[in-house]
Amino acid sequence: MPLVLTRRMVFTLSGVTLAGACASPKASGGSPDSPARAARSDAARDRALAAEADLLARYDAALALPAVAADSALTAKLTAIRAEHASHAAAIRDGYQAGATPAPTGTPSSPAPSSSTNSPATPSGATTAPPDAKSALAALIKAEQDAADARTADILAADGGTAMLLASVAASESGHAALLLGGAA
Amino acid sequence: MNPLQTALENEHAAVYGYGVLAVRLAGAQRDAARNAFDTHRARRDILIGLIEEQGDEPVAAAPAYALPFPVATAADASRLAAHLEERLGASYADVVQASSGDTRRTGLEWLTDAAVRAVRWRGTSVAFPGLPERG
Repeated sequence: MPLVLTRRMVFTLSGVTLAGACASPKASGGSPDSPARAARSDAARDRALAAEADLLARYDAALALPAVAADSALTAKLTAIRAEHASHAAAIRDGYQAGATPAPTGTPSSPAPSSSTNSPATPSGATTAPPDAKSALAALIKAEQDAADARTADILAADGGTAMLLASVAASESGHAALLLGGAA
Repeated sequence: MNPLQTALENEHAAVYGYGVLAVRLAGAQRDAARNAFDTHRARRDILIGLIEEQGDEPVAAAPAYALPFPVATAADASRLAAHLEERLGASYADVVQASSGDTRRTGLEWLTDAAVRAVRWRGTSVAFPGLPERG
Protein backbone atom coordinates (compact mmCIF):
# COMPACT_ATOMS: atom_id res chain seq x y z
CA MET A 1 0.00 0.00 0.00
CA PRO A 2 1.47 3.31 -0.97
CA LEU A 3 1.75 6.28 1.32
CA VAL A 4 -1.65 7.81 1.72
CA LEU A 5 -2.65 10.82 -0.30
CA THR A 6 -4.90 13.61 0.72
CA ARG A 7 -6.73 15.73 -1.77
CA ARG A 8 -4.14 18.45 -1.56
CA MET A 9 -1.03 16.38 -1.67
CA VAL A 10 0.84 17.68 -4.63
CA PHE A 11 4.28 16.57 -3.66
CA THR A 12 6.36 15.21 -6.42
CA LEU A 13 8.81 12.71 -5.15
CA SER A 14 11.82 11.38 -6.92
CA GLY A 15 10.08 11.34 -10.24
CA VAL A 16 6.89 9.83 -8.94
CA THR A 17 4.06 12.27 -9.33
CA LEU A 18 1.52 11.67 -6.65
CA ALA A 19 -0.74 14.56 -7.55
CA GLY A 20 -4.30 14.11 -8.62
CA ALA A 21 -4.57 10.52 -7.55
CA CYS A 22 -7.62 11.03 -5.46
CA ALA A 23 -9.27 14.38 -5.87
CA SER A 24 -12.15 14.32 -3.47
CA PRO A 25 -15.47 16.04 -4.12
CA LYS A 26 -14.73 18.81 -1.70
CA ALA A 27 -11.51 19.73 -3.42
CA SER A 28 -13.03 22.58 -5.37
CA GLY A 29 -14.72 23.94 -2.30
CA GLY A 30 -11.56 23.86 -0.29
CA SER A 31 -10.37 27.36 -1.10
CA PRO A 32 -9.77 28.92 2.28
CA ASP A 33 -11.16 32.26 1.25
CA SER A 34 -14.16 32.08 -0.93
CA PRO A 35 -14.58 35.74 -1.93
CA ALA A 36 -18.35 35.72 -1.61
CA ARG A 37 -18.10 34.74 2.01
CA ALA A 38 -15.02 36.73 2.88
CA ALA A 39 -16.23 40.00 1.41
CA ARG A 40 -18.24 40.84 4.50
CA SER A 41 -16.70 42.33 7.58
CA ASP A 42 -14.89 39.61 9.45
CA ALA A 43 -13.48 40.44 12.85
CA ALA A 44 -11.31 37.32 12.86
CA ARG A 45 -9.60 38.36 9.64
CA ASP A 46 -9.27 41.94 10.89
CA ARG A 47 -7.53 40.72 14.02
CA ALA A 48 -5.27 38.43 12.04
CA LEU A 49 -4.37 41.27 9.69
CA ALA A 50 -3.54 43.54 12.63
CA ALA A 51 -1.33 40.82 14.07
CA GLU A 52 0.48 40.38 10.76
CA ALA A 53 1.01 44.14 10.48
CA ASP A 54 2.48 44.13 13.96
CA LEU A 55 4.82 41.26 13.12
CA LEU A 56 5.90 42.91 9.88
CA ALA A 57 6.75 46.07 11.80
CA ARG A 58 8.69 44.04 14.33
CA TYR A 59 10.75 42.38 11.60
CA ASP A 60 11.38 45.73 9.95
CA ALA A 61 12.56 47.11 13.26
CA ALA A 62 14.81 44.11 13.90
CA LEU A 63 16.28 44.23 10.40
CA ALA A 64 17.10 47.90 10.89
CA LEU A 65 19.21 47.19 13.97
CA PRO A 66 22.92 47.58 13.31
CA ALA A 67 23.65 44.36 15.18
CA VAL A 68 21.32 42.46 12.88
CA ALA A 69 22.40 44.21 9.70
CA ALA A 70 25.97 43.18 10.49
CA ASP A 71 24.98 39.51 10.49
CA SER A 72 24.21 38.47 6.94
CA ALA A 73 22.94 35.00 7.84
CA LEU A 74 20.54 36.40 10.40
CA THR A 75 19.44 39.12 8.01
CA ALA A 76 18.66 36.50 5.36
CA LYS A 77 16.70 34.41 7.84
CA LEU A 78 14.65 37.33 9.13
CA THR A 79 14.04 38.62 5.61
CA ALA A 80 12.70 35.21 4.57
CA ILE A 81 10.39 35.05 7.55
CA ARG A 82 9.22 38.60 6.96
CA ALA A 83 8.27 37.60 3.42
CA GLU A 84 6.17 34.76 4.81
CA HIS A 85 4.28 37.23 6.99
CA ALA A 86 3.66 39.37 3.94
CA SER A 87 2.24 36.24 2.28
CA HIS A 88 0.05 35.63 5.31
CA ALA A 89 -1.35 39.14 5.16
CA ALA A 90 -1.99 38.85 1.43
CA ALA A 91 -3.78 35.52 1.84
CA ILE A 92 -5.92 36.79 4.70
CA ARG A 93 -6.79 39.91 2.72
CA ASP A 94 -7.43 37.98 -0.48
CA GLY A 95 -11.01 38.54 -1.56
CA TYR A 96 -11.73 40.35 1.65
CA GLN A 97 -12.36 44.03 2.28
CA ALA A 98 -10.84 44.79 5.63
CA GLY A 99 -13.29 46.30 8.05
CA ALA A 100 -12.84 49.30 10.26
CA THR A 101 -9.31 48.28 11.08
CA PRO A 102 -6.72 50.76 9.90
CA ALA A 103 -4.83 49.68 6.85
CA PRO A 104 -2.21 47.27 8.08
CA THR A 105 0.57 48.77 6.07
CA GLY A 106 2.39 50.31 8.97
CA THR A 107 5.66 52.13 8.78
CA PRO A 108 8.02 49.67 7.19
CA SER A 109 10.99 51.96 7.35
CA SER A 110 10.75 53.22 10.90
CA PRO A 111 12.52 50.98 13.33
CA ALA A 112 11.44 52.55 16.58
CA PRO A 113 7.70 52.13 17.27
CA SER A 114 7.11 48.45 17.04
CA SER A 115 4.67 48.81 19.89
CA SER A 116 1.50 48.72 17.86
CA THR A 117 -2.18 48.28 18.50
CA ASN A 118 -2.48 44.98 20.30
CA SER A 119 0.95 44.20 21.57
CA PRO A 120 1.47 45.21 25.13
CA ALA A 121 4.08 42.51 25.52
CA THR A 122 7.18 44.05 24.03
CA PRO A 123 7.59 47.78 24.06
CA SER A 124 10.84 47.32 22.22
CA GLY A 125 13.01 50.33 21.75
CA ALA A 126 10.61 52.75 23.32
CA THR A 127 12.77 53.86 26.17
CA THR A 128 15.77 51.58 26.10
CA ALA A 129 18.79 51.50 23.86
CA PRO A 130 18.60 49.43 20.67
CA PRO A 131 18.84 45.79 21.70
CA ASP A 132 21.54 43.47 20.57
CA ALA A 133 20.78 40.76 18.04
CA LYS A 134 20.21 38.15 20.71
CA SER A 135 17.53 40.09 22.58
CA ALA A 136 15.94 41.20 19.31
CA LEU A 137 15.72 37.54 18.37
CA ALA A 138 14.21 36.60 21.71
CA ALA A 139 11.58 39.30 21.29
CA LEU A 140 10.69 38.02 17.82
CA ILE A 141 10.38 34.45 19.08
CA LYS A 142 7.99 35.59 21.76
CA ALA A 143 6.02 37.73 19.33
CA GLU A 144 5.64 34.81 16.90
CA GLN A 145 4.47 32.43 19.60
CA ASP A 146 2.11 35.01 21.08
CA ALA A 147 0.65 35.69 17.65
CA ALA A 148 0.08 31.99 17.04
CA ASP A 149 -1.53 31.49 20.43
CA ALA A 150 -3.72 34.57 20.03
CA ARG A 151 -5.43 33.10 16.97
CA THR A 152 -6.84 30.03 18.71
CA ALA A 153 -10.24 31.42 19.70
CA ASP A 154 -10.86 32.86 16.24
CA ILE A 155 -9.83 29.61 14.59
CA LEU A 156 -12.27 27.65 16.72
CA ALA A 157 -15.12 30.07 15.94
CA ALA A 158 -14.50 30.69 12.23
CA ASP A 159 -16.05 29.02 9.20
CA GLY A 160 -14.10 26.05 7.88
CA GLY A 161 -12.18 27.84 5.15
CA THR A 162 -11.15 30.78 7.29
CA ALA A 163 -10.26 28.43 10.15
CA MET A 164 -8.01 26.38 7.90
CA LEU A 165 -6.20 29.46 6.61
CA LEU A 166 -5.74 31.00 10.05
CA ALA A 167 -4.64 27.63 11.47
CA SER A 168 -1.98 27.37 8.79
CA VAL A 169 -0.83 30.90 9.55
CA ALA A 170 -0.65 30.14 13.26
CA ALA A 171 1.25 26.91 12.57
CA SER A 172 3.66 28.86 10.38
CA GLU A 173 4.26 31.32 13.19
CA SER A 174 5.01 28.53 15.65
CA GLY A 175 7.39 27.21 13.02
CA HIS A 176 9.07 30.60 12.84
CA ALA A 177 9.55 30.58 16.58
CA ALA A 178 11.13 27.12 16.33
CA LEU A 179 13.34 28.21 13.47
CA LEU A 180 14.58 31.27 15.34
CA LEU A 181 15.07 29.23 18.47
CA GLY A 182 17.24 26.80 16.53
CA GLY A 183 18.46 23.56 17.96
CA ALA A 184 18.35 19.99 16.78
CA ALA A 185 15.41 18.38 15.10
CA MET B 1 -13.25 10.41 2.99
CA ASN B 2 -13.48 11.31 6.67
CA PRO B 3 -10.48 13.58 7.32
CA LEU B 4 -9.79 11.72 10.55
CA GLN B 5 -9.39 8.51 8.55
CA THR B 6 -6.97 10.21 6.19
CA ALA B 7 -5.06 11.55 9.17
CA LEU B 8 -4.99 8.05 10.65
CA GLU B 9 -3.62 6.58 7.45
CA ASN B 10 -0.89 9.20 7.48
CA GLU B 11 -0.14 8.51 11.14
CA HIS B 12 0.22 4.81 10.30
CA ALA B 13 2.62 5.76 7.53
CA ALA B 14 4.50 8.14 9.84
CA VAL B 15 4.97 5.45 12.49
CA TYR B 16 6.35 3.16 9.82
CA GLY B 17 8.47 5.91 8.29
CA TYR B 18 10.03 7.06 11.55
CA GLY B 19 10.83 3.46 12.39
CA VAL B 20 12.73 3.20 9.12
CA LEU B 21 14.47 6.54 9.23
CA ALA B 22 15.50 6.60 12.90
CA VAL B 23 18.22 4.03 12.29
CA ARG B 24 19.94 6.40 9.86
CA LEU B 25 20.28 9.10 12.49
CA ALA B 26 22.51 9.59 15.49
CA GLY B 27 22.58 11.66 18.63
CA ALA B 28 20.00 14.39 19.07
CA GLN B 29 18.45 13.66 15.70
CA ARG B 30 17.89 10.06 16.59
CA ASP B 31 16.34 11.15 19.87
CA ALA B 32 14.06 13.50 17.96
CA ALA B 33 13.04 10.69 15.61
CA ARG B 34 12.28 8.39 18.51
CA ASN B 35 10.27 11.13 20.18
CA ALA B 36 8.35 11.64 16.96
CA PHE B 37 7.79 7.90 16.62
CA ASP B 38 6.26 7.76 20.10
CA THR B 39 4.19 10.87 19.48
CA HIS B 40 2.76 9.56 16.24
CA ARG B 41 1.99 6.18 17.74
CA ALA B 42 0.06 7.93 20.51
CA ARG B 43 -1.82 10.07 17.99
CA ARG B 44 -2.63 7.03 15.93
CA ASP B 45 -4.26 5.50 18.99
CA ILE B 46 -6.17 8.69 19.81
CA LEU B 47 -7.45 8.89 16.23
CA ILE B 48 -8.57 5.27 16.36
CA GLY B 49 -10.59 6.13 19.45
CA LEU B 50 -12.11 9.24 17.85
CA ILE B 51 -13.09 7.36 14.72
CA GLU B 52 -14.62 4.53 16.72
CA GLU B 53 -16.60 7.09 18.72
CA GLN B 54 -18.07 8.26 15.44
CA GLY B 55 -19.17 4.70 14.71
CA ASP B 56 -16.66 4.18 11.93
CA GLU B 57 -14.15 1.44 11.40
CA PRO B 58 -10.63 2.87 11.71
CA VAL B 59 -8.39 2.14 8.75
CA ALA B 60 -5.79 -0.47 9.55
CA ALA B 61 -2.08 -0.05 9.08
CA ALA B 62 -0.49 -1.62 6.06
CA PRO B 63 2.30 -4.11 6.72
CA ALA B 64 4.69 -1.79 4.90
CA TYR B 65 4.65 1.50 3.05
CA ALA B 66 6.43 2.49 -0.10
CA LEU B 67 8.96 5.16 0.72
CA PRO B 68 9.04 8.14 -1.63
CA PHE B 69 12.81 7.79 -2.00
CA PRO B 70 15.52 5.52 -0.66
CA VAL B 71 16.63 6.33 2.87
CA ALA B 72 20.33 5.58 2.97
CA THR B 73 21.80 8.59 4.75
CA ALA B 74 21.05 10.94 7.62
CA ALA B 75 20.13 13.61 5.09
CA ASP B 76 17.63 11.24 3.47
CA ALA B 77 16.23 10.45 6.89
CA SER B 78 15.70 14.12 7.72
CA ARG B 79 14.11 14.70 4.35
CA LEU B 80 11.71 11.81 4.85
CA ALA B 81 10.83 13.01 8.35
CA ALA B 82 10.04 16.47 6.99
CA HIS B 83 7.97 14.89 4.27
CA LEU B 84 5.99 12.79 6.74
CA GLU B 85 5.28 15.87 8.85
CA GLU B 86 4.20 17.89 5.81
CA ARG B 87 1.73 15.20 4.88
CA LEU B 88 0.38 15.08 8.40
CA GLY B 89 0.10 18.84 8.40
CA ALA B 90 -2.09 18.68 5.31
CA SER B 91 -4.24 16.03 6.98
CA TYR B 92 -4.72 18.17 10.04
CA ALA B 93 -5.47 21.29 8.02
CA ASP B 94 -8.31 19.25 6.52
CA VAL B 95 -9.43 18.23 9.99
CA VAL B 96 -9.51 21.89 11.05
CA GLN B 97 -11.60 22.79 8.04
CA ALA B 98 -14.07 19.95 8.38
CA SER B 99 -14.57 19.83 12.14
CA SER B 100 -15.47 22.03 15.07
CA GLY B 101 -14.97 22.19 18.81
CA ASP B 102 -12.53 19.81 20.42
CA THR B 103 -11.76 17.99 17.20
CA ARG B 104 -10.86 21.24 15.47
CA ARG B 105 -8.71 22.21 18.44
CA THR B 106 -6.89 18.91 18.20
CA GLY B 107 -6.44 19.44 14.46
CA LEU B 108 -4.97 22.88 15.11
CA GLU B 109 -2.58 21.58 17.76
CA TRP B 110 -1.38 18.72 15.61
CA LEU B 111 -1.08 20.88 12.51
CA THR B 112 1.09 23.22 14.56
CA ASP B 113 3.15 20.34 15.91
CA ALA B 114 3.67 18.96 12.41
CA ALA B 115 4.73 22.40 11.17
CA VAL B 116 7.23 22.82 13.98
CA ARG B 117 8.71 19.36 13.49
CA ALA B 118 8.95 19.91 9.75
CA VAL B 119 10.81 23.19 10.32
CA ARG B 120 13.29 21.40 12.57
CA TRP B 121 13.88 18.59 10.07
CA ARG B 122 14.09 20.94 7.12
CA GLY B 123 15.87 23.87 8.69
CA THR B 124 13.58 26.29 6.89
CA SER B 125 10.05 27.52 7.37
CA VAL B 126 7.09 27.74 5.02
CA ALA B 127 4.33 30.34 4.88
CA PHE B 128 1.41 27.89 4.73
CA PRO B 129 2.02 24.58 6.47
CA GLY B 130 -0.71 22.09 5.64
CA LEU B 131 -1.75 24.00 2.53
CA PRO B 132 0.64 22.78 -0.16
CA GLU B 133 -1.58 24.22 -2.88
CA ARG B 134 -0.53 27.66 -1.65
CA GLY B 135 3.03 26.59 -2.28
